[in-house]
Amino acid sequence: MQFSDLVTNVSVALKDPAFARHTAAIIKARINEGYEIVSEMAPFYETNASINFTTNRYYDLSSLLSEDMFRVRHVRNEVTGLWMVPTSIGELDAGYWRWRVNSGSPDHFWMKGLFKLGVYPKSSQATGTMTLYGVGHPPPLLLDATEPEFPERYQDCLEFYATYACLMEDGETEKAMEYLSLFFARVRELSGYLSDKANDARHLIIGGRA
Amino acid sequence: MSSYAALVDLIEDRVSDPNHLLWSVETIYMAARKAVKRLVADTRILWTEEYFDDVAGTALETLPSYFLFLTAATWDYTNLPIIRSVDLIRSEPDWDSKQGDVQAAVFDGDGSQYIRRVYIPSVNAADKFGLEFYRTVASPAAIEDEVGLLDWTLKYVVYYACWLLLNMEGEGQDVVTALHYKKRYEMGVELVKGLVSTCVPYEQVVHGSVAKIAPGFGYRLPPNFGRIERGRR
Repeated sequence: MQFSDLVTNVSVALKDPAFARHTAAIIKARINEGYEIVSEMAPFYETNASINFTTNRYYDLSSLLSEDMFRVRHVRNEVTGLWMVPTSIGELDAGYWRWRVNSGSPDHFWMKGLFKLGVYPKSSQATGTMTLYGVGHPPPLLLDATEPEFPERYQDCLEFYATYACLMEDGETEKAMEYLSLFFARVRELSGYLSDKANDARHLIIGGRA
Repeated sequence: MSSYAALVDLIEDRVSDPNHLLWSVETIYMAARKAVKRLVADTRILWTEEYFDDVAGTALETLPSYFLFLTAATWDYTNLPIIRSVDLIRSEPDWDSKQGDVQAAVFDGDGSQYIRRVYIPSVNAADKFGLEFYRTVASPAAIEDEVGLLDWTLKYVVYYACWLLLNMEGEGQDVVTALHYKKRYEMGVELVKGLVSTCVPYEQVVHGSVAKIAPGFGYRLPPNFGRIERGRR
């Protein structure tokens, strides 16, 4: 569904086709607000970014990455060409009591908080890069012909959200709550689809899974 | 990253009071500061490690003002166990007067803003005692200061601030809408906490490995342990 269609549908839902109470610009802003929330609740937008190795053990992603990526799933060491294994500080503590001093070619990673990426061992040289693969915020919808980057059957959730936000501004809280419930229900469906789509493709075999 | 001034604008827009007829700028700024601290404490999104110098003869370390929750203490890059003072007293009644290499840390008995090394360092050393902890943002000196959080997390700050403002006594009070924003804040906190990952979900249970040991299952002695059997050495 195109961005312009979403805006039109919201104005119809608000019974304001002439954009008298809520301008097209406000509705567009509310749709993009909902788009950002959908991307956080249902990880449909996958992205990647490269960062340079340093000799530090931790990397502050809030300054190294743009705000597009908010969840790191995989990390690849581009120097060795190998994927880095996700681990935790607990596992490292169980393995070697002075793991913090080791340096070499990083082959494990973990996250602390939302922005700190740790690698083990820390890189012995400040050369080379690692590529982070994760989930992020999609670019906002700007042009009329732009389409949201998730399946069309779930895109009405953006209309629900924008309608909710506009009704809240009008003080119609009860009506707004109904649209918010519809929004969350649709986003849950999208999230369920995204988590199950790999399983749907598998064939069931008696005694196990493919 | 946005400033507190931009955050105040977002909150004003959300509560539909751009001309400050219901809440003054100072009130909204106060609500914004409270909301930022609340979100960071509830979600633990900021984590850091810091190193403190050992001072000969001094075991007590004052925690930074932005300290929230401790995750690990280290000395010379080695993990330190965090021990209760009562357990130390049972094993070593004079533990707090001994000098030597730091082998543990005590987090009780001195107040919530202190941590104590066990034993007392006997020499000065730079950056020896490490603390890894969740932290909060620094308190702003002026409304133009940066919030210290990424912009996409600020919407959850706005929800909490709206809850505070709409709950306040006065012309702007709207308890129903306030409750709605409280619920949206709580949902946002659960969402952000879910994003704060240590990659633990990727751990695999592999037969024969120690990647994960199920509760109740541990190393067991063989069934004939301690029994004398004829013909066996």
